[in-house]
Amino acid sequence: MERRELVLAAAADPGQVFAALSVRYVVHAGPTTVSHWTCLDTADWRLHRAGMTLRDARQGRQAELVLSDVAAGRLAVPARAHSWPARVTALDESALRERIEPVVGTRALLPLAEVQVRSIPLELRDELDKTRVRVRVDLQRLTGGRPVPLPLRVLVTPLRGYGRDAERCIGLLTDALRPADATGPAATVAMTAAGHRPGEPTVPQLPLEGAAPAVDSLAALLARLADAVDAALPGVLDDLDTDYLRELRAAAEASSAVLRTAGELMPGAQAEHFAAEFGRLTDITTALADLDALLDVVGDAGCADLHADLAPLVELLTGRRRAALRAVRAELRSERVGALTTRWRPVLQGLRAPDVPGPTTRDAAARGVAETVSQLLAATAGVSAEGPAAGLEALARPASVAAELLTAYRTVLPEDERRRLTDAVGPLARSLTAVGTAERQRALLAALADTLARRDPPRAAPLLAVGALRERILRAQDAARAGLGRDLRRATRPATRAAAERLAGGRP
Amino acid sequence: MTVLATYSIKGGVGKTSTAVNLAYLAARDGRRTLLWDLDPQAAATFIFRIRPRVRGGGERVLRGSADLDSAVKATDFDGLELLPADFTYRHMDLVLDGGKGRKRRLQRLLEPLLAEYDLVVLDCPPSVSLVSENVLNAADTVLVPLIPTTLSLRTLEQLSQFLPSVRSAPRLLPFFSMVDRRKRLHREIVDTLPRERPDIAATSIPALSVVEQMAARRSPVAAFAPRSLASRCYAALAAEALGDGGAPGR
Repeated sequence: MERRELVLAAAADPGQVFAALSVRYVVHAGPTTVSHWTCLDTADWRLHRAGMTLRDARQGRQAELVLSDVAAGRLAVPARAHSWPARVTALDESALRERIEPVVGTRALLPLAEVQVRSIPLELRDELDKTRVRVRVDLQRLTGGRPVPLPLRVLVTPLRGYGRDAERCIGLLTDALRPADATGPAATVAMTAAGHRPGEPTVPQLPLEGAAPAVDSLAALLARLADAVDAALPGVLDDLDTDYLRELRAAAEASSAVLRTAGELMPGAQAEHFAAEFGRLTDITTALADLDALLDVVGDAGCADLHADLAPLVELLTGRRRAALRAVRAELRSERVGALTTRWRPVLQGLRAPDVPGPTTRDAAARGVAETVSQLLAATAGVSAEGPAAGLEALARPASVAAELLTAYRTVLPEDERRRLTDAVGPLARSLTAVGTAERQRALLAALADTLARRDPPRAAPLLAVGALRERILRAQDAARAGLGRDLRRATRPATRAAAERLAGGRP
Repeated sequence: MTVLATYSIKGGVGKTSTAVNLAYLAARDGRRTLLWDLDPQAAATFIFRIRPRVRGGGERVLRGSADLDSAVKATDFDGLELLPADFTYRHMDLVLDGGKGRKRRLQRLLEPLLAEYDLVVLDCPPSVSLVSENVLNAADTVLVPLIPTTLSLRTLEQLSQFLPSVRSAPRLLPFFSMVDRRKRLHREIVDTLPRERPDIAATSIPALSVVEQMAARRSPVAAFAPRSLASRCYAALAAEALGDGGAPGR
C-alpha cells in the first residue's frame, strides 16, 4: 500500500485528527517541527506548463530544492539559502538545475507562494505499544503578507506488514472528517490561495463585490495594480528578467484603462491626468519591450538554422537594447515617474465612498465596459485587417482598454454579457497587439539591416540571414492579419453590440 | 546483500542481544536491514513488540509455499524490518529435512531478498542440527558469542571442528560476551585466548545491566541508551563484522 495524503478543510484542527484516530489506537504525538517552503516559477509559468513544481524547502539550517516532475518524478538536492527572485544560473550545479535550465531559460524564478508548515508526527500504536501506522499532520499557512490558513494535510504512511491498519486509519479519518475530493498538489493550492492562477498572469486577481460602492472597488483595484507596478519596478531597473517589464507594462496599461472610465468617481481631472501618466509609462517602455520581443524571435528555436549568421544582428540588437534600457532606467528614475509613484498612493488613499451614495461597482463597471465597447465598435467603421497600420493602431487602444476592463471587473459583470463581450473583444485586442508588434519588428529589422549593409565591408551571410528572418516576420504578420480579419468580423457582430447595450441598460 | 548470523551451540550467551543491536545499528547507519528471528523462543520478536506469529504458519514460509515477503513486519525503526519467530519453528529441523538441498533451503529462501536488503541478520536457536548447517551455508559471517568460561570455549572448538564439513563455510567471528572483569577466569581467558585464536574479534561485550534492560524496555540498547558502553561496544562489533573499520581495544 502506498503512502496516502488526505486533505481536510482549513478549519479542521489536529485535535480532530487525534480524536478520530484515538477511537481505535493509542495515538502518540512526537515533537512538532516547523519548516518553510517557497513555491517558485517564472512569470509566464514555464515550470507549470512543463508539468513541474519547484519548491525551496527550508527546515532549520537545512535547505533543499525539490522538483516534482510529472514525467520524471521527484528530485531533491541540497541547496544554499537563496533570496528570490533569482536566475537559474544562481543555483549550484546539480541534476535539478540541469533538468529545469532548458525549461526556465533566461527567466527569473519568482517566489509565488511562501508557506509555513507545522508538522506533527503521530504514531498509531497497538496494545503492545508497537507502532502500526505513521501519520503526519501538516498545518500550513501562507506567510509573507496576511497569513492565510491552508487546508490541513494528513499523510498516512503504512508500515510493512500492517497495511490493514493503514486502511483502517484512512477509514477513521474519512468517516470523521470528510476529506476534500480533489484539491491538487500542495504547491498549486498555495499558489491559488496566494491569488495566482497557475498558467495565468502572475498579478493576482482581485475579487470585487458588485454591490460595493464603485469608488471603493476602484480604489482597491488601482491599489492592487499600483502594488504590481511597485513590485515590478526594481526588477526592471535591475534588468533581472524581461518579464518584469511585461508585468510593469501590463499593470500600467490596466491602470490607464480603468482610469479612462473613472472620471466621475474621482475629483477634478485626476482620473484623466493619471490615465495619461500611466499611458506614458507604457509608451516609454515600448521600445525596450519591442527589442526584447525581437531578441526572443531571434533566439527562438525556429531560427536555429540562422543562429551563426545572425550573430552580427544579435550584437547590434543587444547594443540597442542596452541603450534602450539606459533610457528606460533614466525615465523610471526621473522626477516625473517618481512623482507618479509618490503622488498616486495618497490619491488612492483619499478615495472614499461619499456620504451621498454613488453608483455600485456593478453599475459603474457595466456602464464603463458598455461605453468602451461602443467606442471600439464605432472605431471599427471603415477599418479592415488589410488596411494601413495607422488605422489599426487607432483601434488598438480602445480594444485594449475594453479587454482590460472586462478582466478587471470580471467578478461583478453579468456572466452572459461578460462572456460574450470577452469572446469578442479579447481575441481582437490580442490580434491588434500581434499585428502592431509584427509591424514594429519589421520596421526595426529594416533599420538594423540598413545599418549592417552600410558596414564596410558588408558581409553577405548576415544580410541573407536577416532577410530570412524578415521573411519569417512577414509571414507572422500575414498570419496575424488573417487572424485579425476573423476577430474583427466576430467583434462587430450584432450580438456584441446587443450585449453592450444590455449592459448599458442595466439589464442582466 | 550480506548475511550475518549470531549462532552458538549454547543458550543464554547473548546471541539475541547481539543480533538485535547489530541489526538496529546497521539500519541506523542507512543499511536496509532484515532481522530473521529463527528461534521459537521469539526473544528478538518480543523486543520489537511484534506478535510471534507468521500468518499461515512459519512452516509454510520455510517450505517455500508461503511468500517470505508477506511475512515481513516493519519495526518501529526506519530501515529495520523483522521476520517474526513462530512457535512452529520448534519443528524447523523436520521441516527442513525433506527433499533435495535440505542443507541449503534457508539460503534459497533468502535469494529473493537480495535486491531488497543490504543486510540480513539471522538470530539462530541454540543447537547443532540441520538448522545450524542451513545457517552456516546461508551466512557470510557467523558471530559466535563466547562467555569466557571453559565450557564456552569447548563449544567454540566443537563448532570449529564442524565447520570444514560445511560446503560453503562462512567467516567465523567469535567474540567475548558477558565479560565480567571482576572474575579472574574471565580476565585470564580474555587476555590469553586471542593469542591462540587470532580469529577472535577485538571487541568484547561486557556484562552490563543495561543489556539486560533490553527485554524490559523492549528496545535495542543502542536505541534507548545510545551513549552507553554497551552501545559503543555493539557499534564496534558491528564495524568488525561488517568490515566498516577498526575496533576498539578489548
